[in-house]
Amino acid sequence: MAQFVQLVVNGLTLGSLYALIALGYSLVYGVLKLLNFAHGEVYMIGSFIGYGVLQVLGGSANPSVPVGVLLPLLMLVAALGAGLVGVAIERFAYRPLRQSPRIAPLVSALGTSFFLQATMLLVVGARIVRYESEKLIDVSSGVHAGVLNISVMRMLVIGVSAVVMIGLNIFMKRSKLGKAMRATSYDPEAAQMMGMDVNRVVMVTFFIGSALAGVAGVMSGLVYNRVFHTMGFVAGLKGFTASVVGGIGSIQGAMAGGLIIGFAESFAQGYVSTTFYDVVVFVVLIGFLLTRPRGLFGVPELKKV
Amino acid sequence: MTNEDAPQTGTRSIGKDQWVEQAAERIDNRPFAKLRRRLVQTPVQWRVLGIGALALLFALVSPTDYTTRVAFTVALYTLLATGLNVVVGWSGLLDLGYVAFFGFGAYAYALLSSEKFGLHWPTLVSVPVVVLGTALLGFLLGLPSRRLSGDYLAIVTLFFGQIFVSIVNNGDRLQLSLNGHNVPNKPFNLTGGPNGVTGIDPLSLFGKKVHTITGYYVVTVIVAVVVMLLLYRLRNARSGLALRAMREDPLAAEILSVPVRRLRLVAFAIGAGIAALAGTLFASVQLSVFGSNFDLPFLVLMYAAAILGGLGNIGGGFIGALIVAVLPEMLRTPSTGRALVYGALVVFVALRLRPWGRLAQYLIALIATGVLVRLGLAAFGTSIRPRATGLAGMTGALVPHLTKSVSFGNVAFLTLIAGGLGLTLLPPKWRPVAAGVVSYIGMLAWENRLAEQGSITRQLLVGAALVAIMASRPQGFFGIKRVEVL
Repeated sequence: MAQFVQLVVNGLTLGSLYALIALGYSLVYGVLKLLNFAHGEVYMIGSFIGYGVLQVLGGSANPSVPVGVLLPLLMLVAALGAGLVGVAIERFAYRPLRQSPRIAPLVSALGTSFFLQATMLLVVGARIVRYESEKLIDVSSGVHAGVLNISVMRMLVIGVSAVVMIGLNIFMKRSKLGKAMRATSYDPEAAQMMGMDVNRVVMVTFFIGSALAGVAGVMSGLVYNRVFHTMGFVAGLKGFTASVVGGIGSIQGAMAGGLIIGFAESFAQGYVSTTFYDVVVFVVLIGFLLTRPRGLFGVPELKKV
Repeated sequence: MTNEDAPQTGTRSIGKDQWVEQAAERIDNRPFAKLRRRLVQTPVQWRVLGIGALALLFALVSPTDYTTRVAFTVALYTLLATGLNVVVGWSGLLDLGYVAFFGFGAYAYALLSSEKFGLHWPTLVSVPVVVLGTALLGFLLGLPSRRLSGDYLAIVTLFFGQIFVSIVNNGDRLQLSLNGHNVPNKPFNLTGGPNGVTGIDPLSLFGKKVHTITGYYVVTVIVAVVVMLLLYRLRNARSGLALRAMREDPLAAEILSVPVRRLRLVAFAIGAGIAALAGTLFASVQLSVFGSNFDLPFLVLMYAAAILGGLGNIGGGFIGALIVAVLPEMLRTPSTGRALVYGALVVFVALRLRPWGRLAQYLIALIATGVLVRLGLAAFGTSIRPRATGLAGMTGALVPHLTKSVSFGNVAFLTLIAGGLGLTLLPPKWRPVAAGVVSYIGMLAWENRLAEQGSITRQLLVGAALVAIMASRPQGFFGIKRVEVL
């Protein structure tokens, strides 16, 4: 029982992170019908930006600002930096290819992803850097009631993800820009004819998606304490899987998919194998694609000839 | 009478399309037009055979084992890029698990013919078994494609590649823990994990073992030529035509009763089989295989090779392989890398910055940046390395090489990225000046950081090249531009 509860907590934490990454895929796919393969690298860069800010502010051992200010600051700066990287990726790697065959942006994304990894390898090196978050917040603090053990860090991850997702939902539903994003996603040409600046909408979409990945990067650094230049690849794959499982293009779907993948991975780690949990996630992906190719919340796409 | 129907120029004739004629004229006016036409008119089989014969001759004149080894890499990459071409170029399926098939072939051969399990299957048995087995695996992986469109298929195959690496790296302790019971009792070692599989048998053909790198080179060239010739036959057969029809428009092809779903599986299987063939060659020449051989960087490299040569072009794989195999070798030592980079810079300047006014702007900007940087460094009292001799000395006169160069070089590199990207946004008027500044920063980054990190620089170049080629020439250097009718 204790193990089960622990696995649920782990699954929730992981799932929240995957959901944040999946949102980036879904938002971009919704607007451009494009798979942003380089999204995982944005997450990785966000994580490194957070680490850099932490070091500038004196490291985890004796930070120059109180922890309550430090953590939001890390996330904000990482969100901003990652968002800018995302906008740059869109501007230089995807926009020139908007009219080209579908294979071109995918290859371009592969190149971008590779380039970003190599850049971080050059600048930071191949070593694993650590946030050392245990020095910021005591590991033993948190809720401990019976079988339930949940550390403050994990509560933070789950809480921040929930707040961000609710905020995003409200933004998409209520704000003018959110409306513009939905309109562009529905029909870019018609949106343009109605006087919307589609390029600006796409830019905002990339910024928001990448900023979410940046926040996820910082939080993963805080919880798992390991940041390295290839971490984005696998995280990106899982995030993508989450968005597919939920139905790509759908925001609620990305959240649900993230949680499903998080739980699948956590339970696979606990009950099946500690080394081959990736295989389980892969099987979930294949299973979903074969039985419900449009995911949980996806609408079947009708093709008009 | 001014008749508009009358030919304006002497060259135009009745019954010919004006656009076609103009295009033909343009082609005739290109440099080496005659030679090019000769080349184009030669049947593809003869071209492939000719290049193959030249490649075999290289085995005789190759001065050292090192050059033969590079040539072997070119031949192996050619084979791989050609196989990738079938899947991506002909059939339009983005198979990102391609390298996993290469790895699967290598590992399967390694397990069937090595010390590992004491199985020493003869080459002529194990290689066909491995190739057919991997083709079957490709067929199975292609099965999801029956229901998936391009993007989903890409990610499923990418995930497959990732799973392959993960299984191989953890395959030395296979064990399931079901409700606390371990199955089997002792972890089973299948792949050797990070230690890989060693002690692989060399190829033995017709009773002779291949021991030298020259031998492997000859075998690989012959295999590549045979595969290309077979593929050429396939390309012009009914299946090949159907594959290309499917790439252009799956829906229209299906309406014309092309069995699109079955063809996708066939294309996957062919690609997987060719990759596995290359894998057996790779495993037997290395005498060992490791999971890290088949990771993402190699996949990107193979895509770069296939795309550089031009997707859909049979000979393209060779040209792409030549570029991606030889370039990294030149970046291996700073001196040849330096010659390459500055040579490329000079060629670029000579080609793009004409007339003289623009060149002058460029040079002035370059020198001004240099002076500013030197002044700035002097103001901070940074120590600069003494100048070397030769080309390094010449560039050293231009660009300071700091003694503590790592973080300075990193900053220069990041500035280079920002500057290079910003350059493309500037109005053309300002570009020569900005290009001058950016190239100086580039030289700073090169001298202080990139030159010493050959392998990372290679990755950076490959990644940037993929993006740049997609943006400027999506059909690759030697591909034929596809006209899309929308």
